[in-house]
Amino acid sequence: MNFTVDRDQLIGMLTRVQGVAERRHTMPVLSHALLSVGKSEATLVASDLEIVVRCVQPVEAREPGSVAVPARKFFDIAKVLPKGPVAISGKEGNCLDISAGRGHFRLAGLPSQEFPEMPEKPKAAAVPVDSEVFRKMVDRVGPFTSMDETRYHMAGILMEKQEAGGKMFLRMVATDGHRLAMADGDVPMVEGLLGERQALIPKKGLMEIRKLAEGGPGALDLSMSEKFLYTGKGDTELWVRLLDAEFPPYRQVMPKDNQLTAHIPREEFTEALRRVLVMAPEKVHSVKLSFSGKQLEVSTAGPEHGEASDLLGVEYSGPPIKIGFNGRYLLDAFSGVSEATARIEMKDDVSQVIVRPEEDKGFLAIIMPMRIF
Amino acid sequence: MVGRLSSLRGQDGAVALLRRYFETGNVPAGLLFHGEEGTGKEKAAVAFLAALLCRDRKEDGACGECPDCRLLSSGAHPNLLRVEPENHFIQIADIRGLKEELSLKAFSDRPRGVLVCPADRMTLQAANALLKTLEEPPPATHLLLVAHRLSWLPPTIVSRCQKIPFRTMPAETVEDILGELPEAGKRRSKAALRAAAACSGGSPGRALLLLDEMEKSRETWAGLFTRPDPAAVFATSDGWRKSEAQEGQAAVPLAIVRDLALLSSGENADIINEDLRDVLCAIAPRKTPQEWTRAFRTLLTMSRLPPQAQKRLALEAFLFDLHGKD
Repeated sequence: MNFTVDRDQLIGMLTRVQGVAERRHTMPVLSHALLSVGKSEATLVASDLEIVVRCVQPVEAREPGSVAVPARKFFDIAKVLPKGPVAISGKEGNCLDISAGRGHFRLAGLPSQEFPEMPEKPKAAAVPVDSEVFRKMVDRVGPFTSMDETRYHMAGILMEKQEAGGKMFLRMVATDGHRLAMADGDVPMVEGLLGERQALIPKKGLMEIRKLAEGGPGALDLSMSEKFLYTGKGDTELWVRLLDAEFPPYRQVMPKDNQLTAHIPREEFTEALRRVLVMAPEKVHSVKLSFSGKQLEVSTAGPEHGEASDLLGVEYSGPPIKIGFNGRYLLDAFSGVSEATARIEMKDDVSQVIVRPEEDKGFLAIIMPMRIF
Repeated sequence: MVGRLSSLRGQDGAVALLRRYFETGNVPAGLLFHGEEGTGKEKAAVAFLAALLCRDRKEDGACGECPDCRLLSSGAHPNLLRVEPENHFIQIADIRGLKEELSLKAFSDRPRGVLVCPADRMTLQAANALLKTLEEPPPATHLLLVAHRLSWLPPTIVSRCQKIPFRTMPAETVEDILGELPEAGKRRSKAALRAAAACSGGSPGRALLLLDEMEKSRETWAGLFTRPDPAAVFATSDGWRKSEAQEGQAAVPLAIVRDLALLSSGENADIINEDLRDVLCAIAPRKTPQEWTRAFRTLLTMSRLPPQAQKRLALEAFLFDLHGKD
């Protein structure tokens, strides 16, 4: 192997892959990135077996070849190289010689055959998804996944096709058993990605795609195989291993007759909530919402520290109602609302409530209330 | 290089059973390899998994050349998951980690193999956490449990697995196997091999461990049984505390006490430590055959204590007790 690459180009490639390469893993080869050189391009692949990342850049290639190199060390070296061209060549014994300016490094690697075989790009045509739409959806549902290490089927985010008003949407749903969030995003060609299928994506992988969506302009190209969700953008490709579990039938928990609706100014409410949460009992973060007339009182009382309360004006016409929540759940739900006004739809003080933006149909959160005496 | 099933010596029954799974194409989801330590269970389990993952399987097992075999021998096959004890035990967190991994779809298209070794080191909580996975594993996933002591596993685990028994072998077979091993055969004398094989309780793995142990400690032990020298007792018991392989270490005193019991009852044939006969003959009459037999039983119990037991204290108590009346 023998090629020349610009230092900044090399740093760019390594930045994208080295975060995925695992540092403390039972398989030492996974802390390595597979570097291969073809006719006119260099490819770096890294994986923790849950996520695979691949980055291709055009380089001045003289001799093809491949070797697995310690990702972190390679990155550290790239960062300290002087600006300008870097000559890289493979030596016997899986070593990599890196020269730039008058500096010279020899990095010991592993044979490329020891690197696990990476998945292929799915055969189905890639479906373009707007990066911003995707990022917003992940942000909206992300906090709602389960952290419980024994409920694997809830550790992921459900992706499915949703049709409404003659338009096609990509839907993401996440739940931890106490609350649920659902976000729809405009993806006209979603049919080609999912069909009738429901796919469960681990949160970690989805966050990696989000990172890709955030970096620079352009749409994400998504496609799916039986085992992987593939994402391509620019010179970077990601494979995320799907969860092999069944997502709870989430439509069954959608409340149908929540008649008591309060229209709440989002910013004012989240500020009041943040204030009150300071005094809320740790772990449960319980807060009480008391609606009466045009007024909403947010309050908490903990046995350890004391009490807190705040008042704000809301639009509410039903009978007075007091209802308890985990305040953190409310905050997460309201952070998914981007409009000025949000709605809380209730039935009574024990049934699940809906939090949604006033107009936007693309987001909805369901939260189970808490009994607070 | 991963071994083949046929390279397994003295376990024809187990090998035939494993072969039959491949012939019928009906590989159970839960397999339990059980038998004395050092009888080749782990080797067989790895060879079986290799054959399972190999994409060009030969009659005899894995081909050893395909990409899957190469990855397997470098320990980097993404579809092989190993669960091993840290600090003596496999904890519930280890099993949860495994379940999390299994909740994802398999990385490569080959079947998925899980090797829990040794499974009898699972805590009760860990074993309970594994039950559901054993009962309903994900598709094309095989769990292989390797256990030295079946009785240390909860019956709920055992009943969910197909059992593959590994037998202890006659001392002659163990001696043959030792003779063929590059690390033992050429470098040791025939007498040393025979003694190690005789003390091993029919386990080649243990015999190999014993080879080193025997040379160092046989005479020390003969001395310890002669008269109690506190310094020597503490030195030996300290060694027991530090070492992982107490089971192997107990084999030396066990063999000596066995010989002593035989000699004291006037039986002269079948002595394991033939080369120490003179020394042993001098010690044997100091106690009655019953006393030597009792000592043998105590040692046997000690050699089977669970890993968390204070073996050092047990050994000190045993030795001082033995010489208490002198």
